[in-house]
Amino acid sequence: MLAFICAASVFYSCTGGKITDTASTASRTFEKDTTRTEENPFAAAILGETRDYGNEYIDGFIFIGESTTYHLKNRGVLAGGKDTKQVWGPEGGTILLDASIKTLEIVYPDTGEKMTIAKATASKKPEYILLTFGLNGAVGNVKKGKEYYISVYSSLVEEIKNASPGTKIIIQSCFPIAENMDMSNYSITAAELNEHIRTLNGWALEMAYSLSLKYLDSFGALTGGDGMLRQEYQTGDGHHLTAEAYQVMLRYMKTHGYGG
Amino acid sequence: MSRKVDFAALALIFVLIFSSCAQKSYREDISCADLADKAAEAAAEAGKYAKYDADFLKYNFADTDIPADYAIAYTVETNNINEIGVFRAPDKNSVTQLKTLVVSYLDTLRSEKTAFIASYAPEEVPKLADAQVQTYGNYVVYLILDKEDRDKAFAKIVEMLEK
Repeated sequence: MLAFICAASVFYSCTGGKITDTASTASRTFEKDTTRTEENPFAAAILGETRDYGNEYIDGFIFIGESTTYHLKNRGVLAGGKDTKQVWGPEGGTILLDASIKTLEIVYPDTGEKMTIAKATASKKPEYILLTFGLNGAVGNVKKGKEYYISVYSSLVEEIKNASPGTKIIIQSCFPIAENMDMSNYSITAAELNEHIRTLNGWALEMAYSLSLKYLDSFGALTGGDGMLRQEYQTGDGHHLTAEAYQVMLRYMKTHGYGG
Repeated sequence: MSRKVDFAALALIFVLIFSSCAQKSYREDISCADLADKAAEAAAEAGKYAKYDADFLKYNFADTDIPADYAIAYTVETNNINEIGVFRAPDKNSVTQLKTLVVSYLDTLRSEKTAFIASYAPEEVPKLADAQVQTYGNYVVYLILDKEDRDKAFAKIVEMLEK
């Protein structure tokens, strides 16, 4: 019985606990992060609730991820607004985390030059880098398995670490998707894809723990009662986020700060 | 009736003679990396390709140990899905099995990557849909390129491999 409870706790905590808010979304407070349970063997990696670190904390970050990360720029929610230099991405604005990640070229905002993430990191030496992956290629990644996913993800982490050993890397849970996501190019349902994301988040957490990185479990801050992305947080396509959703995410970052 | 049978037999003999004459023979001594590099040069901008490492075979080709040699080159341009795969089987008996693995890889790519490609570069989707596999002796080659580049790349490979 105890083994079952432990296994269930690990599963639940690795797939993102829901956070119920009773205040408005603009100033929501977060209940105790339910993923940080004593039974979760990777709990030490999860960033717990802290005082509000403020916008200065956010200003120290570089954000790297898929289109849902790139749109932090489009929504103008970071310093510099739509001209922010804090979001790194390629010309297409999205990244597929796969074996080609080390050679992928982003457009380095400070100069407009195309260069690898490693070269950009060596040049900028940011205080923090937040990595958010999981939606692109989710089906294939789950099929290939945990070893593959962690292998590819950690290869990117190693590139960054080698380029700038002083940069603090935080792995963020991939954002949830909503029921209305267009699944015409998939062979699964939106709910199943959301579960794939939870699975990949669990593997990302395990990777963070094994590499002594911190993990920002913001997934639950964006979900509704059905465990999927709240309808009011998506732009109509079921997965890209509104400015309001990004404000929720950023508030979660500030109140689950590094070193807390 | 006997005349018809004679004619049919004669026709069959001619077909057999000409088909054996038409069988090409191919070299087996060119490295897959060279073939992939030359195919990339013929088809698209040179110097814009990288190659996958051994883990790629492990996770995408059922960890096969069939190829005596292989090279898989992919473009580093982010809005472009160009990919060139060249494998050499150790003997002609392994070619069919190797080709089956390659076909399966492309089928998997289509089912797993089309959604992502469609989301950011929909004009690239046809390249994957129309990707082709050819065999040249013990070599198995797949190309994920547009039609014009594909024709040029295959032509280059044939030029390099034909005896």
